[in-house]
Amino acid sequence: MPRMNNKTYTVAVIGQPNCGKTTLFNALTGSNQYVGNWPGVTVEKKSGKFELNGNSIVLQDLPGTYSLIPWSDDEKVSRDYLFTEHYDAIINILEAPHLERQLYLTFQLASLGVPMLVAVNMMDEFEAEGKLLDTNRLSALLGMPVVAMSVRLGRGLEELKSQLAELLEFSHQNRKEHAGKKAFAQLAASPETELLTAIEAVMIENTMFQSQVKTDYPQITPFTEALLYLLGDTGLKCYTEQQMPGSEKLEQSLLAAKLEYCTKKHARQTIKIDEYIAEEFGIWLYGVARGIARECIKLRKDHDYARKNRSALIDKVVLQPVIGLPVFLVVIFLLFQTTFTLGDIFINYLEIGLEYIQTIASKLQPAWLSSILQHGIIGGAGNVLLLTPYVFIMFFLLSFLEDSGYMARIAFVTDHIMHKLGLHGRAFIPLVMGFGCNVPALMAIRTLDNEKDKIKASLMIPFMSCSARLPVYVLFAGAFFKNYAGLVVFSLYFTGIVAGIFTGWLLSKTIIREQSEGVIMELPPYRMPLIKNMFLSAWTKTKSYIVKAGTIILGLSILLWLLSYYPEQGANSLLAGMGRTIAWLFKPLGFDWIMTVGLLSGFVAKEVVISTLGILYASTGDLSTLLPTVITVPTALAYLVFIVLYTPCVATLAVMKTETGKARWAVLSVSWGLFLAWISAFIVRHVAQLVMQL
Amino acid sequence: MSNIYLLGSIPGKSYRVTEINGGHGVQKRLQDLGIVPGTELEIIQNDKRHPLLLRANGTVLMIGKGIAKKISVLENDSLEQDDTITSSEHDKGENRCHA
Repeated sequence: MPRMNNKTYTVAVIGQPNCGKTTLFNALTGSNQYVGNWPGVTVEKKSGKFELNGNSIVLQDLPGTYSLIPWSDDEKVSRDYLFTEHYDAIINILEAPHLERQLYLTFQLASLGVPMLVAVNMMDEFEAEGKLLDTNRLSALLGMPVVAMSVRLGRGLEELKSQLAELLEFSHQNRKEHAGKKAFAQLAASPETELLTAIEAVMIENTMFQSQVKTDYPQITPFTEALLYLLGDTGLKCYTEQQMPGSEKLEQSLLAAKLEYCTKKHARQTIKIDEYIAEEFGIWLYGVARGIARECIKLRKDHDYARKNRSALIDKVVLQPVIGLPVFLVVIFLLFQTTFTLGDIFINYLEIGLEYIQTIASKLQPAWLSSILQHGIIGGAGNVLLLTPYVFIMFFLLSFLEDSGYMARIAFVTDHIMHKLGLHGRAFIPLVMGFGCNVPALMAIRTLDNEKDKIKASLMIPFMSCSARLPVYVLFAGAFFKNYAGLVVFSLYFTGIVAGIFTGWLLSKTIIREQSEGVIMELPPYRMPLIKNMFLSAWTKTKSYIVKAGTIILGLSILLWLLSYYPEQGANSLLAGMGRTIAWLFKPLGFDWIMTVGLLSGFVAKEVVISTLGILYASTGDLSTLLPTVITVPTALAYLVFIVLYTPCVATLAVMKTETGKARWAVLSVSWGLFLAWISAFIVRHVAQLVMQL
Repeated sequence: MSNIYLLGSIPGKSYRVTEINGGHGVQKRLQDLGIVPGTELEIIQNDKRHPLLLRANGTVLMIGKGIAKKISVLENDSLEQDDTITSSEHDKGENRCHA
């Protein structure tokens, strides 16, 4: 029954990584959002709106988390949201094939006593394994509505909506009624349930403690406090150990309850009593989950393991100790090769269009207008826009790697290499993402659990050639090394990777010596990515590339054009003067003042290098035919190497500062990059000159 | 059969976790991913260079060698008896507390 209530409800969507949470979010709100397949890709909180029975629902997408006791920064985002913000209900999305493990989080969420709905996703995969789920039974055992879904296939969406409407309607009238604690109330009495009740009572009794916790976490209930405290939440422990009136009594009561538990479990008191209890509670909760799973999951007699085997079969090849790494290299090579081959097809058409506009512009009057259009706007921003297809295809393919599940495997394949740098394989994933854009790659380091790992990875990321550098490579490679263009571009990427690894190695030998603890990571099953998701993901990022071309790069193009025409065009312009003052720095590398200015402008965004060269060489047509007439091959190579290695763009540096928390890492990154770039370019140029003389 | 470290486990065999010795952080992370004393682990791959690859609760996990050294396991009998889990878990709890 559609009722016109015109109310606004906030609903939080939460689940463990890879459970299809973001896909559900997209399906409900239609928002353009990124869907990933490796743990923790949704780094930002994202919200979207949709209409439900005349009410407006604000959906809050929270980063995937395995539990409410956070491990990494992005998991902390979810917990902090749930404990502090106001929301009307929780949708907890679970993966049917891993129901047992995922109920661990469900119980923690249920302890919050908020109206809650369980969406069991990936029923298609689950049923393909020959299993059946009794949703009514599950719903009864958890004391909350359960919807069976396959979000990818659109199954269960309508039911979810109607269940959600009902839940909100009901809880609006009597919120207290619907406490998720029901799930706990139904559990068989055990030493654990008794301890939970005892600790909850202690926490309620101590009003001082309550008010302390409530100031920081207004949404948390004493019951959640008790559960998380017993599961070993160190954050909560700080509160119990704080010095305040009555804290001694609190300590004593907590200890008394814990000791009583140990007696019931026939365990002797030990110093590590908290760790003992945390582990026992883990065992207990998983035991409860296993019991529920057993009661609700039935095996079909004619079951077929085809699906499970498919994932395992792919892993047999992809993760094989000897061929795993070569397979990875081939995948990366194909990624680049496809980007270029496909990109070229589109770019050829775009070039025809650009030339056409160019001819129109050349006929315009007055002359200065024609010039600013031809050399400033089209020669500058136009040349950057021309290369959009590469960017789109690169991001499209990267999201294929993520959504298919292969990205997580990269962590496995590269783990032993990363170990030599004191990192673990998981840190390699942000590096691969760096091929798309360094900014999201830096944001992805949040999923690393250790501060030192983060800093190391963030100093390595700028050496991963982002899609903004790709156009510069392609332009130069096409202009100078026609038939070997692909090989040259690939070597440039390779140079960047080697420089990144070298940087990591150097850091691990000098300022960041600590070894990371080692990797613990889930490898999600392979899934055929949804074209729609990949398209949305690539499009969002390409859009920002186009916007950048239309704003910053366009503005800079016009500014550069002005500077290069004032007081007179060319070698006597203001810009030429600026270039010349620092040109001595780059003389040993063979760069002229135009190339020098190109490097300077590349600091703003790497694509600008092209537009700068376009404007300053006053190219009216194709830059790639002009370049070989003004630059020698060794110098071109040195220039490319310099661009691979020198300072990341301004945006990258800004993110690097926020993510590592200190400006000094950004400063180090800039200086180290420049140093490495200069030395390498110098060597490359001179070696190339020698080779060419032979 | 006696306890061994997960590091020395053999691919294709299945084991039960008996003890986790890592610090608080490691124990917590393993617990979040469903690995507690009593959990059954099916080893997929265990070679010299790479992390261990195993299946637990239906998911594939990779576990670094350093961490695999901190997990004690007991090989499962070829005759699997799921019903004995609970009782053996309780025994483990006692052993740990004495240690």
